[in-house]
Amino acid sequence: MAYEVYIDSIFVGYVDDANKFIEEFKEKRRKGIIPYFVNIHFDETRNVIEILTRKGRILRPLIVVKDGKPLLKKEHIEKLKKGEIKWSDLEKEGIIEWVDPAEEENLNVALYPEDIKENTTHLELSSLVIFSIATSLVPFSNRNQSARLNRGVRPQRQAHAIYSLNFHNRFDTDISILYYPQHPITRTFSFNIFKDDYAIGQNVIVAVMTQEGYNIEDAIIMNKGSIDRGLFRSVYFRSYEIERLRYSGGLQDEITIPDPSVELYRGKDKYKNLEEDGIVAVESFVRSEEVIVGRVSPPRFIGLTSESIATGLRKKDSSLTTGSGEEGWVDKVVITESDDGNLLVRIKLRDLRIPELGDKFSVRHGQKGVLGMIVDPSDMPWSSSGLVPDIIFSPAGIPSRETVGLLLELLAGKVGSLSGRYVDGTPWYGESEEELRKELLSLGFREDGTETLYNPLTGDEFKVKIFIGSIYYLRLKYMAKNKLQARATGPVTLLTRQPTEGKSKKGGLKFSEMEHEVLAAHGASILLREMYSSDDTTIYVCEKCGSLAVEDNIRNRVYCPICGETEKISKVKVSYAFHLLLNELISLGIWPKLKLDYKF
Amino acid sequence: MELPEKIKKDLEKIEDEKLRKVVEDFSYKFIIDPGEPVGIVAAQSIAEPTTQMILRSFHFVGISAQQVSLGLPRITEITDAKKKMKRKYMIIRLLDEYKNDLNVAQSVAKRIKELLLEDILSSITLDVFENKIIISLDKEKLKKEELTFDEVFRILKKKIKKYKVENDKQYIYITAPKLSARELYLFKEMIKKILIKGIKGIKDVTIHKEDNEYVIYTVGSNLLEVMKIPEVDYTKVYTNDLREIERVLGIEATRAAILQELVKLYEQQGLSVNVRHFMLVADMLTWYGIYLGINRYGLHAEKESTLSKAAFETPVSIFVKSSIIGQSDKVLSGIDNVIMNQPIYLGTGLYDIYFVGKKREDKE
Repeated sequence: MAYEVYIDSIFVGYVDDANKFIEEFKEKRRKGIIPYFVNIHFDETRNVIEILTRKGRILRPLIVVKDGKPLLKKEHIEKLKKGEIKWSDLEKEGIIEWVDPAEEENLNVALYPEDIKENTTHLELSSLVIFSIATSLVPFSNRNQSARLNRGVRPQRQAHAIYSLNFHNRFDTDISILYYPQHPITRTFSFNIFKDDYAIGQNVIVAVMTQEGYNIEDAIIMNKGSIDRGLFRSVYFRSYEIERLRYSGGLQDEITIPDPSVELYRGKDKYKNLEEDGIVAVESFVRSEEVIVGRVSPPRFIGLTSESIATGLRKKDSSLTTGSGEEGWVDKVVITESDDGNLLVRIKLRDLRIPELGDKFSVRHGQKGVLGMIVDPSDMPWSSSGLVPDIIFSPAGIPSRETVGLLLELLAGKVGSLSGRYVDGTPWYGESEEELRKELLSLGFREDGTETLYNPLTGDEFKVKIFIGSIYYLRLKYMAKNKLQARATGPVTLLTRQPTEGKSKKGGLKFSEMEHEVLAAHGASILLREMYSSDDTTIYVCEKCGSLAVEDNIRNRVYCPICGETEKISKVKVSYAFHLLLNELISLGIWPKLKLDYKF
Repeated sequence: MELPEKIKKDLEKIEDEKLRKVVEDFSYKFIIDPGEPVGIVAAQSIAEPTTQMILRSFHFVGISAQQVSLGLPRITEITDAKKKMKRKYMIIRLLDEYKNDLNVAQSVAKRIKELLLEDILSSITLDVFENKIIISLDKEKLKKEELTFDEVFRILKKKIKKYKVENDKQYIYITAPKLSARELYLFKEMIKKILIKGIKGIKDVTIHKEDNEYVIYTVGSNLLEVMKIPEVDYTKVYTNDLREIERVLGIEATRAAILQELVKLYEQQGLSVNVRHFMLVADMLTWYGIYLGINRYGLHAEKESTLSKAAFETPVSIFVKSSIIGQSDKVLSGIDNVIMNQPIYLGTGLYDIYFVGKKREDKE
């Protein structure tokens, strides 16, 4: 029987003995005659051999097994350690092979050397290859629920840290730098590789308990004393940029302090931070919605209104301002040129961010929560040795999430900080729970990590022993100060006259259908009317024919345009949205008539 | 406001007068106040536990021997009054005298299972030149179903009266001279679906033993035909096809069935919802004398108010239709009043203070 052979889905010929052909092919690849990244796949159902060379295949290295023995020997590993041979040498010798998903179909891969059987073709490098870079940094991750692992990765990417050593010279938007970043006490195998970059949090003392209920629903309680000493203190940078644009006709923007005569002038107070050149002074404090670069645009000739003709053409203020709620010191000003050759001004604001209520924190196991309460050190529980926790974490979050790794990290952190060493938390191969317990016992503590804590309010002992230890906590980039927004009245949308939506537009909070039904179910009908009265308008209705009447402010009269009625016309208070609906119906060619009557 | 007759009778039984007064006062508390929005309360009371059901329902799928749609899909099926229902099933109970007889149960099961011609075919071919359909039957399958070639031939002859049906002990020929090739092909497809034996629509039958009683479970449903079988207790036949119940037993039976289905559904999920909310839903679904779903073509189409209809779906076509017939809207429902931003006609908005002064004539 002949087997068809394809190279990247292009037919090249037939082969009589498929297995022999594949074996020879692989042998040649191991000798280096065929490139390492070419794979071969035998499809038994279609009797087809496919050779794959294209880009985009995901390859992974495996150790070749021959006659039931892996080709990678101990001497290779020792030589690797000494630096006598390299990874590429192993590839050349055919010890390591790169395999893609198609070729893997025909292979028998053993996870451990003990698992090797007669028909085994390859051996996994290590069981740790299952982890991604970020996941491999989570200690004791083999004890966690797998879904929590995926969630634990995300906080590591969102943490405050020193993301780049030249952050002083960079103009990134929305960046936070931690004041005192630390390396974790509990580490994994991959920590040494990423050592220089992996200082994304701080080791804090955590007590697992409830205190006054302020850590309900995943919230955490933080010690004010710790915060005052710089715990999780960070600096926040936000950058702005503005360009001096050129327009047709040789006109150009002007970067200066705008004259009060320009259109859209914001009032003298808003420009107080600007220096003579129209750019904000370095190290001056800027509050929200203040001008940081003054810019005046030439008048636009397109879209002339009757008003602008009457008043004459005026220059327009198009200054750069901080957004609502954005404030800080001016850290850096750069005046440069954009790609188009225009003058470009870049400004970086710096703001100190001390942990405050509502800031988000997380551990590396996907247990994230917001800061629920900041407590004076005198009101925090203390242990018999006088230790006061930095963070109080609620135990209610642990049983349902099954993050056993978190508890182990707490224990390991305690052992590490007491004995002054780093703990290896590599999944499967790290230090075991028993060893940690034994060491803790030898250090003079209870082996399960619990301690007697004292109630700060009464001075009594807590009846239960409290689990307390050290763990690596991260401060995440979501901060209450960036999210805070409130409004009483403010801008409305043009068409419907209803309040705008979103923080950047100073929007209101939506009171939508489900909320409407809650009030309706309570029978609170007048309150409901009030909730929806943000777009109330008065319309005039002709009682004779029911159509909308016209209010003529110049002649000071009200009349019906359909039947000419001037007497029997009533004022009605309805939502503007309804008025709009009536007008849209009229535009559809439908004549809506309103019949007025008393409801009761 | 008066108490219902039944509660009044129960109250009369209480001899202690003080106790009776307490119970009576307590009973009055259960009467819904005028202006209470029962519909919204029912909707919220049913919908809130349903949000928990979405997560929970997929744990239950596949455990039951029969594939029955459960959880949220089933609720939408009931409230939408879907015409093409998925996963119909019946539970058939036998009369008391046959209850414990496995043989009777098996014979009934055998009789009701649907057998189509295509199930016993070995081949069916077209002879386009002579306009003939040639059918050959699978002998092994015939044996399994305890049928003979002649029986099948007789059934076919009875069912196909328009055309000539012949046989030569091996093949059955159907001659249809006037049909074109395309029509002949369609006719062949039709013949394949001819019912040889059993009840149409019942695709699979299993017998379960429940509390010393043999009960027949079926996949697919045909209420009318199953109720006709003499051994079957027609008062206890169950089907989950609500539209079939409406067709066979009428609208009141549908109302009861909807209520029963909803209560069962929420009980299976371990959620407790007051039965009165389901009663309201069942009442509303059958209110117009036919079983209407809660959608654009069903209950929402029956609404009087143009504004509330338009607020739901397809506003433009609804406005156009209403304007053609000159419909008026009294602006009484909740959503209408919200659109116009008036106090809704519910709760506190239902009342206003009146003061009727004395007439002057009375003074004199």
